[in-house]
Amino acid sequence: MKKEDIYNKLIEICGADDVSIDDADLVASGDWIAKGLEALYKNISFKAGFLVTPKNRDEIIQIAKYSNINKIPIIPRAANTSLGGQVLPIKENTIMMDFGKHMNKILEINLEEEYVVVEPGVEFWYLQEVLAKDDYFFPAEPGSAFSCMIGGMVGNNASGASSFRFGTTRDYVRGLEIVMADGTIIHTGHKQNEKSVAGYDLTSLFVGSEGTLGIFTEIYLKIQPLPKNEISLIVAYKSLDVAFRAIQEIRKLDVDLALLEFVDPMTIEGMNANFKYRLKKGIMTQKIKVPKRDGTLLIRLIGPNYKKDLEKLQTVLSDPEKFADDPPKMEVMEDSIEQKHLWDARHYAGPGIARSMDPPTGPRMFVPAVLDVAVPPSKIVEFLKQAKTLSQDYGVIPITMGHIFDGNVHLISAQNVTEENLGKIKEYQEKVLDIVYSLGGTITAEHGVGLWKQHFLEKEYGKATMDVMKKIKQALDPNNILNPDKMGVGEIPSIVNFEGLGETR
Amino acid sequence: MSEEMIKYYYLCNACGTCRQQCTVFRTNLIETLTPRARVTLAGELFLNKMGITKKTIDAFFSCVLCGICENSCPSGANVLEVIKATRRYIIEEGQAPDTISKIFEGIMGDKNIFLMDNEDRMGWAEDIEDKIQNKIKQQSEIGLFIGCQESFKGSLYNIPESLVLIFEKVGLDFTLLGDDEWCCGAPYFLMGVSNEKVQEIVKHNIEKMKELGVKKIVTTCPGCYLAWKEEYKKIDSELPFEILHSTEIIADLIKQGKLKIEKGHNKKVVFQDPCDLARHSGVYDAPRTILKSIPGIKLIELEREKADAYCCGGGGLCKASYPDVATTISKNVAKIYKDNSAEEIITACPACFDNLINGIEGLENLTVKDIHSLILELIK
Repeated sequence: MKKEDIYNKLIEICGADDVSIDDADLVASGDWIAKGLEALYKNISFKAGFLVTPKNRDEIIQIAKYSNINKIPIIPRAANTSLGGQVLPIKENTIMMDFGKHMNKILEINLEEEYVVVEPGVEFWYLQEVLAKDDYFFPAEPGSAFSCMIGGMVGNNASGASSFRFGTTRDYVRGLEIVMADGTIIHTGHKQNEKSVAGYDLTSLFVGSEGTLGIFTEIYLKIQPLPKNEISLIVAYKSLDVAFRAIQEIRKLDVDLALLEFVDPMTIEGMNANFKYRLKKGIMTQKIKVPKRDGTLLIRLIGPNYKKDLEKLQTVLSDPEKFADDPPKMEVMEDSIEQKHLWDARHYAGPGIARSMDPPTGPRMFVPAVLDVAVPPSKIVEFLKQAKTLSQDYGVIPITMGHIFDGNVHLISAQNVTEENLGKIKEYQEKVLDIVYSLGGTITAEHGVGLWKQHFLEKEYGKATMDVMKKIKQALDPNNILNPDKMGVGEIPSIVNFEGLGETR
Repeated sequence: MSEEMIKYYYLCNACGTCRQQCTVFRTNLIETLTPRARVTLAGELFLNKMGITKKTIDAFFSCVLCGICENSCPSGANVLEVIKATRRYIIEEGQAPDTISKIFEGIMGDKNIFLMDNEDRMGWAEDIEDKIQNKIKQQSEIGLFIGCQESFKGSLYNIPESLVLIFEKVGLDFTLLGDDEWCCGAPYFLMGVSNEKVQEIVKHNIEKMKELGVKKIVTTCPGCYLAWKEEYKKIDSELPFEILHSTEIIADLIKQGKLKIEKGHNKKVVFQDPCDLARHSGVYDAPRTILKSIPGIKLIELEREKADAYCCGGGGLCKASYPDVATTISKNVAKIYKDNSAEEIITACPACFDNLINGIEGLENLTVKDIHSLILELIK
């Protein structure tokens, strides 16, 4: 198919202002996450063919019908904050469909039935801001809360630090309006009903499908009353072992925990560097410094009994009988602005680490298959210890932070990858995964499969399960036009298969 | 092309935190106009992975250089450094918007951004000729640097005029360069350009101030202020002047009891922190000291204040090439102020004043007032 013909058709559907082939738009819409890969594979382009910003479902239907007949790939894109190469174009003439420009409206807020109807381009923070006016919120908060959009959250079943308490995005999606690959429009679930067992749970199937099964045009989300009181606590033990002993004690307590995070000294350094910058710039007025200790926990309590809960926690965590060998440093934060700064810094702790370092002068690649693994929560310490030893053997210095109660650990291993050390890093990655699987874990708890992790799925689930996934894809998108060759259900691109590496962010 | 273009290319994780507050992106929600996109595009241009396109030019020249992105960037990317370096590259490649070339032509030829006869620089003082005729090119410790906008744009004449009358009221001596004042060069600095010709202009202004025995340079324009404070010092590291914004000197006069505002101003006001004065220079208190000394005034502080304050959209020379973007920003900001019950927006910057006048169009019971004019009204 000629590029010019596709371009003209897209303009016919959406108008010239909403179709672009300008390189700047194409770079900005997706291929920037391939900085590392492009340095290795100089003759491969990771650029979409077209950027389209549809205004409504009718335009999307027309694009889908046209693309399906002509086998033109479409990638539905929200804020491009995904971390698995989900929206990286790998096929010629890919249509990058961006919802942020037009399809960004909250269509309905129903407090009586506790739901909202939104378009995919609604930003998470904006929805929260609007709901907060009525003391409501949408609880599935990912680390990318500052920038992500609801469409992307649903596409990736986004979750984050508070998921052990509030659940993941899937738990809040009551239903969807979806444009299928052939342009058919379907509705799943019931926006006003919390419960329904009528038929297959298609909503759950589409949530987390990473744009491979359909294009969301409306999303029905369950919302909840905003928890009122909150208090935060930093607890820092010198030893990681002691910190995890403390966590076992916390598990036994009846307290309303909203967050319980483990951060390692390098993460803390990044957080503190950001606090220092913000203080200097006058963005925050109160000094915050998280103690740089190996066993540091960040805790947030909510609910009407938060003060009593705090007392219980403080008493247990500093119990001289249990923690005489390593008494913790504890700091309580009551001021809501101060707490916001603390948790903001934790939210962007990943990119924040860069502030405490010199800017890199060349491409770095993260080891994607170790970035957001999860193991059974009781095995976290074991995993961290084994991963640390392995990392030392391979000369890798990973940064670790994690959501303790759901076993999700972010092991961030940014490497300057060269042709020479590729093999070694691939080996390291596979050995970390061996540890994860031996402990009964998963390769990805939050970030998704996307492009990078798909060749590991068969190891995690087995061939028979993967065949079912492939059959679903084949049934719903027989021409493989929706975000093709991602999620392990298409033809896995050779570069990914060979290296198992890619840059995330 | 300079290394600055790629300095943060590998650092930026494209996390998108900058999207939430980017002044320009929020007006149109086009990803190409986000700070993270600009950092990426600059690096791609540097690496010759792409060429300059129309949207590339839009991305770099529509930026208002407010710097909010730098506040929010967790990784510490100095985005403005990248944008200025890339603007310079695009200019060198001859692909800058025509409006920028015109401004440069004006500065080099006529010594002002409006391509006007520089001998008419004192046009702003026509109504107070008697008060300033013995001030022009006279020896004094205080040198007022008026700036192009206030010198040539009739709607802004009242700003320097008011300052002069305030100084007269408190008996503060000062001098003016008259037609010896040349453009401060800020438009070049906003484009990352500081070549020999620009340095000649800078040196001219410095020499003229030195000749008059000036010790303190006072500007009402935060753009000129930042140019003197940051860029002039880069060119002349031994710059023998204290650089002050007019609000700083007025706040000092109030603190010393030399200026007392007794008349009341019973309004709910919001102060528009000028980016060049506030976020980029850290001057937040002086204008607030002034406003808080006015009886009856109610100063509203928004949740986003000071370093995080909203930009009016009038900076970075965005307005020269993308007036619609600048106007949309100002309308959005004015609406926010209105929603926060403000009755008046107080400005301390000619660009803020000029742009917010457009911003309040259609909004009832919301006015814009320059801080100097307000003070003068209340001490007359």
